[in-house]
Amino acid sequence: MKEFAYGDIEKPARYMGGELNRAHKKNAPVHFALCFPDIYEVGMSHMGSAILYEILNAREDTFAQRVYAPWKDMGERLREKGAPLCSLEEDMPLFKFDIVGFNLSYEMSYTNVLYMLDLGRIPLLASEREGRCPVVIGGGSCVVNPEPVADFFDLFVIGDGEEAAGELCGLFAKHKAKGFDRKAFLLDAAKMEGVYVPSLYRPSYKADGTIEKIEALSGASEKIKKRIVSDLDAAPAVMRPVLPYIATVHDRCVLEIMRGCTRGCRFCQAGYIYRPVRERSVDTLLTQAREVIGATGYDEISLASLSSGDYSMIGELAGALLDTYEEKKVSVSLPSLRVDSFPPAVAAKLQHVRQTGLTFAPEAGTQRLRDVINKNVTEDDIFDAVRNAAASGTKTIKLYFMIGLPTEREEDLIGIADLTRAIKDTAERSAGNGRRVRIAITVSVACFVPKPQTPFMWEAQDTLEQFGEKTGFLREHLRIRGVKFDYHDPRLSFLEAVLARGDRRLSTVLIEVYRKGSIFDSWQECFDPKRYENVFAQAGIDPTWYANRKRTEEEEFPFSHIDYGIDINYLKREWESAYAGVPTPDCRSGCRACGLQKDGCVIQRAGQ
Amino acid sequence: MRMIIRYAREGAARFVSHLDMQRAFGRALRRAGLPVKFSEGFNPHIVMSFASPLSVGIGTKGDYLEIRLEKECAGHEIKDRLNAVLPEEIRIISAGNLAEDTPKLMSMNHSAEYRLEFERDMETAAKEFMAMDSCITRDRKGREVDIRPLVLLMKVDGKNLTVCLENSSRAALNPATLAGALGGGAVMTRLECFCLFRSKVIPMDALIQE
Repeated sequence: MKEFAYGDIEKPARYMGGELNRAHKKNAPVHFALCFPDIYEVGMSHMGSAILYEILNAREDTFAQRVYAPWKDMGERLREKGAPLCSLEEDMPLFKFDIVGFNLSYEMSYTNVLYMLDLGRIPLLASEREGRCPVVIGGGSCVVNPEPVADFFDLFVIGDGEEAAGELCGLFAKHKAKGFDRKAFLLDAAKMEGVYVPSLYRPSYKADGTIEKIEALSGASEKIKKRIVSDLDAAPAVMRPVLPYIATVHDRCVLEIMRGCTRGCRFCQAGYIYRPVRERSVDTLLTQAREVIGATGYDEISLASLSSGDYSMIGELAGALLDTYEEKKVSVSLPSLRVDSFPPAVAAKLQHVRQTGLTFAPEAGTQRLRDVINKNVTEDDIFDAVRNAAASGTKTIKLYFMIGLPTEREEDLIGIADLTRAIKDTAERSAGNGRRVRIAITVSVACFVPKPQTPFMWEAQDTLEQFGEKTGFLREHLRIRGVKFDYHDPRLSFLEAVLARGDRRLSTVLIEVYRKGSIFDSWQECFDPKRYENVFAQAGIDPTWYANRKRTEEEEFPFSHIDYGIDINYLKREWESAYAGVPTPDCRSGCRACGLQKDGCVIQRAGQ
Repeated sequence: MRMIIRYAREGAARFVSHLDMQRAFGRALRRAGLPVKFSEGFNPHIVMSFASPLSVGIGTKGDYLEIRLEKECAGHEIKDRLNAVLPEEIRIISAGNLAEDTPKLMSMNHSAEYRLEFERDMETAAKEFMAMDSCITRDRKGREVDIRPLVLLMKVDGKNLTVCLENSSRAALNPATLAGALGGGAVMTRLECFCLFRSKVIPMDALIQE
């Protein structure tokens, strides 16, 4: 493949490999293609893939190689030349691998999975793969409901992949040694915790189109329970990441300080599916930082988690990192702080090394709606944080909100503008010792997408018309000097909503829309909503039935056989509490019995 | 203390842009733990400058950068420590002191020597080209330029050309433009950078003091 990336191909380094810290291996029996369905710069920034790369390559029986989606120019070139999509490490065609694993983090990358399979000469449908054709597996946050892509995959790993990925390779090696039989391998794999083999489940539908039942075949278990790495501190972390030559999206040392979140925001799928909360110890993280900085020469460290401010030793960690790396001219930044968990001492320390903007996510414009969604942040918390940040030199603030949340009213939208104005005012008064300093604010608005395993999974999404009216309304109200307003394309959010709670009948739509040319749907310049619309119409499938229909409490979901440990009755209670405007406190202050306690949920704290 | 480093690149590293190459060297210097000097200010960065940017797709056996060190470090030690941490496709060929009174490397560029490897015999094409008085062609930005006077020397050996191209602040010819004018499809490698030093044209290599 490399020999075609010359000449007029944009950024040939995307296809060349050769980076520092990449794996070389000889004679490993299992060849694993670690695929990410987006371009190199995006895929190389994905932490989960980097972890798996190290875990798999640490195994004697496995050689994992990276494969990314070629940008359109390179994809066309490969087609012209009749050349298959290959790995970066050994230029090995995708169809020659034993296992082809995709990360599924975003619904809009599904057509890119088809694009990569197709370019890699692997049949798109699992049912058409035979013999030594690669076993195509998927994992990542989208497998909460993998049904729209179930027909494309031989199996999925549900939950944390660190242990399961290696176990699958071990199992594959065993099967390969005795003469590989696809069916036997899949039946064996299905016995592993967290492994979902979609061909062993058969959904049937009622006359009204809803799910009748999901039948488990060949003795497969009724429910597929997610995998949990219970001791995150002992779990392998990225130590020697592949160092890209070209700038990638997150081109720095990233420390995963914690997995999961105890807040219980009702719109947030990650907050439910990554339970329980597990923190890494400060010592482990300092060791990791030393290894990564030594292996890469990165000059920036960032902390990754769903809510870094909630990490119980955040002050100690930030302090220790700053003490160690200040003289080495390595900066430390905290990307996803929650408004109410921003200790001023940490903020002041962080300002020492590099000035960065502040990012807050109030999510809703009024306290009433924040109570509905359980975003337990008050305006006092917000203003305190803004004052602290502005006083320590922050000049830019980014605010994230959502529209289309359940129970939303006009006053909630006006609240977004009011809150923005008040934040700007507070920040400008607090900055620069009495002199008013101009603070630039970006207001970023996302369209709410109801997601599986959340208390809002029964909700109807706003229609495109409603989203259009609301963004227009907001645009008028956010005409404020120094405030930039941008919003996520509602047509993308609509498709996300269709796919997030979709079923297997959508796979034909995905194939068709891909055949007609849709790839890189998450890229604004590539996304063609009209094409989707046409394909839905031809297929006789009404996408609004998936996105804009409120489900009854009795309705069976297409993903009801996939068990994230969250009790559906808990989610229903949370749904009721939302409408009652009653917040649910953080589960660090006491167990709320979400369902995980049945398996002995333990919150792993860094200080213990 | 001022140091000059000569390096080579091949394989995947040929496709790294100038900006990315700068970053790659910055990171390698950090990995090697060399006592490099940083700039002052809020956003300190390594004081480092390359003699002549190398375009995407071109390999090299003779490119140069200069750095400053806080503490003394022998040229061979810089070479060994960097080679231990660089990807195998970027190699340090030599390193040494650069006299303090030497102007900045990038201000002294005069010309650069390249090898162009074609897939066909170039004897006739080369002779014809050198016999011309002018050769108007489009450069990579689409502008019309006469490239003939910018080709200072051309030697041909079957499919391979060795050329010396103007590479000064006044005018510089990208070898890809020349290769394009000759029909395209060459693998290009820079062999040496020449500089104008005390009114003499010398290879930059001569500036390295062991």
